[in-house]
Amino acid sequence: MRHPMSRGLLAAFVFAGAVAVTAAGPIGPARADETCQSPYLPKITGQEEFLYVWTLGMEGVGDQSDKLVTIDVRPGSATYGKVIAKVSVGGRHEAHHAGFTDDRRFFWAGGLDDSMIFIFDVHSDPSRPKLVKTIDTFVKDSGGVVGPHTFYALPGRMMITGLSNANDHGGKSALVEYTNDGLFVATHWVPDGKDMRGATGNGADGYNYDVRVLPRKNVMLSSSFTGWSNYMMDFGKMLADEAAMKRFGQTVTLWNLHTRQPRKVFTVPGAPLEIRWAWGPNHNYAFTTAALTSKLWLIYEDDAGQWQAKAVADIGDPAKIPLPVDISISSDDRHLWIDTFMDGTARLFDISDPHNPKEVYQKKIGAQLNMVSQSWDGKRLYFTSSLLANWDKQGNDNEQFLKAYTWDGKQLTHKFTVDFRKENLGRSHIMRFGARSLYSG
Amino acid sequence: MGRHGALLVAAALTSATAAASPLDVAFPRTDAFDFEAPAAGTYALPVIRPAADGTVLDEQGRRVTLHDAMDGKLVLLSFIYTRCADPDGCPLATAVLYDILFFSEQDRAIADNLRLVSLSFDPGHDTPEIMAGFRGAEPKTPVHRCDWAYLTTPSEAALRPLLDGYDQVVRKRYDDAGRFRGMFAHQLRVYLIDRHKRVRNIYGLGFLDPRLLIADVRTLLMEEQRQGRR
Repeated sequence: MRHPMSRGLLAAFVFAGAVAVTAAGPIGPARADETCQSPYLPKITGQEEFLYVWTLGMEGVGDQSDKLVTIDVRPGSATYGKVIAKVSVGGRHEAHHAGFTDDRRFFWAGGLDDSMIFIFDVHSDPSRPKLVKTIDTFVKDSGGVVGPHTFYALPGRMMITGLSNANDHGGKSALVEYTNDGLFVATHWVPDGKDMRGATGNGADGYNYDVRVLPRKNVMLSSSFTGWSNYMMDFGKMLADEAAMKRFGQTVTLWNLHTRQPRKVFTVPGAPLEIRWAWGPNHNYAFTTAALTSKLWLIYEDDAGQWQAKAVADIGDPAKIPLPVDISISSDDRHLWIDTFMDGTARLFDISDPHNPKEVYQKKIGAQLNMVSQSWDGKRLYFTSSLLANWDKQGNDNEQFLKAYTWDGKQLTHKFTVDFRKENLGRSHIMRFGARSLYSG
Repeated sequence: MGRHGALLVAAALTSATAAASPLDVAFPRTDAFDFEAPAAGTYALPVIRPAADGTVLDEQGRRVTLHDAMDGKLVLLSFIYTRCADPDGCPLATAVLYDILFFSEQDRAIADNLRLVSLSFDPGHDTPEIMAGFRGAEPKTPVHRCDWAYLTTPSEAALRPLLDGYDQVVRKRYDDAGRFRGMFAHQLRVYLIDRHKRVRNIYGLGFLDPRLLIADVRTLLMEEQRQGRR
C-alpha cells in the first residue's frame, strides 16, 4: 500500500505544468503559493506572474469604484511592478476578501457592505481577468446572511463566511456554500448561546470571520469578528461607543468538515481573525491572532485526541493595541508573518515549536498595514495597506500601497511599490497570485 | 492493488461480523483519513446541482442517455480516461470505486440501489470496446454486488455539455509542436447522484475515503426510507 500522503492531498489538480504541484511526498515541505490557500487548489510552485489585488474604491480617487487590479510580478518583464490591468465593478461595496475556485479558473470577490459577489475569469487570460458573473442575491439565497468575507475552495464549491445578518446587522452569522458556477447550496449558522447546534463549549456567540479546513482530520475552523453595524461604522466613533465595543467575537468554532456540523466552541477573546493550518503531514494545529487582545493563539489536537485552544504569545505590546491583522504561515511550518495595522509593522515569529512562538524579526512597512502574501518558497512577500474604508487611518497616514519584498532568511529587501492613490486605484486589500502556466502545457 | 487486497482479506476474515459493523472492519482509519467516519443518517446532504444529461455509448456501443444509464439508482459517477497514468488521478478514483464495489458484496442495500458509472472524457481513444476491456474480470462465481457501467461518448461534441454540466475541468495537453500528447490535465472528481438526478456530493482528493462515500450513500438511502420512496 502506498504511503497515504502519496495520495497527494496537495495535488488536488492533476496538472503537470511547470508551476503546478503534481504530488507531495510523505515528508518534506508542502508546496503552496500563498500558503493560506485551500489544499484543493492547483499550486504555483515556481515564480508567480501576476498579483490580483481586490481594491476598494475611494472617494476622489480615480473612478471611485471597487476594482480588481492586476500587477505584473515577473522579474525581467518590461512591466514588472506595474499595473497591467484593472476591472472596475462599479460602485463601492466594501471590497474585502476574495478567493479562487478549486480549479483556479475563477476568482470570487465579495463586498461586505451590500453583500455583492463578483466572479472573475482568471484562466482565459491570467494577465487580464474578466468579470463574468455577479451574484446580488447572497442575503436572500442564504436566509439572511450579510457580508460575504472568506471565499474558500472545496471540491466543486465555494465555502463563504458571512460576517453579519440581515436581522439586526450584528455579529451573528453563518457559512454559506455555492457551486463554482454560482448556485446556492446551503447555509450553516455558527452556534450561539441560544442554539449550540450540537456543539460543546462555552461562550458561543454566533460570530464569524475566516474559515480553513484540515481534510486529513475532517475538521474545519471558523473564527469571529464583528457585524455590519461595527465594520461599517467610523473607527473613532466606534472606539468611543461602549456598546459597540462589546459587539466583537470571542470564539473559534471547530466543525466536522464532512457533515458541516459544529463540534466545539473555544473561547478566544478579542476577535480572532485569520486562521492558518500548518501544512506538515503530522502537524495537527492551526494559528489565529486575536486583534483586540494582540495574542497569538494555537488551536491543536492534544495527545488524547482532543482539540484545544490556548494563547501562546503576545504580538507586540498588547497595551498599545498594535492590532494584528493578516498572517501568513511558511510552507515548512517554521515561520509565521504577522502584520500589525496600527504601527504598520510586519513581524516574523519562529513557530517551529508551535507552543512557544518567538518574534525573531520585524520591519516597518508603512503608516498602516493589513494584508501579507508569500510565495510558496517564502522568498517573496507582498503587503497591502487597507483594513476597512471606515477604519483606515486619516490624512497622510492613509497610505494605500502594494509593496513587494524579498526575504533571504534574515531581512526583507524592498523591490517595488505601487502607490494606489497616485495610480488612481483606491484602497488595496487582499492579494492572490496568478500564472499562465497553470492553464497550459 | 494492495488496497483492494487488504480490503478483500479484511472482508473475508470478518465476514461473520461484517454485517454488524462492516465499515470499521473493512476500511480502517488511516493517516490520510485520520478521523472517525461520521455515522450515516446523522447529517444532511444538500442538493448541489441538477445532474446533467447527455448522449453516451455503453459497452456495446449503443446510444443511451446518461440518465438512462443511471438505471434509476443512486450513482457514483467518475469522469476518467483509460490512459491516465497519474496514481493520484483516474486510477485513484477507479480504485475507490472498486472499494465500493467489493464492499457492496456484503451490503445488500448498496448492491441493490447503487450503480457505479465510469465515463470517459477521451472519446477519441476510449471507444466502447476499450471501455468494455477496462472492466475488470468478473468473478467466476457470480456475486451480488452493485452494477458498474463503463461509458464513453460518440464525440467530443457530445462530451462537452456533460463536462460543462458537471463543471468537470478537462484540458488536452499538447507538445511544443502543438500535437495532442494523448494526455489530459483534469480535475479529479467523483459525484454522488440521487434518484432524482441531483448531485448530492462532490469528492476530490482528500475526500475519497470509502468510509465517507458509503456513509453518504447510506444517508441517501435512509432519506428515501424516511420519505417513503423506497
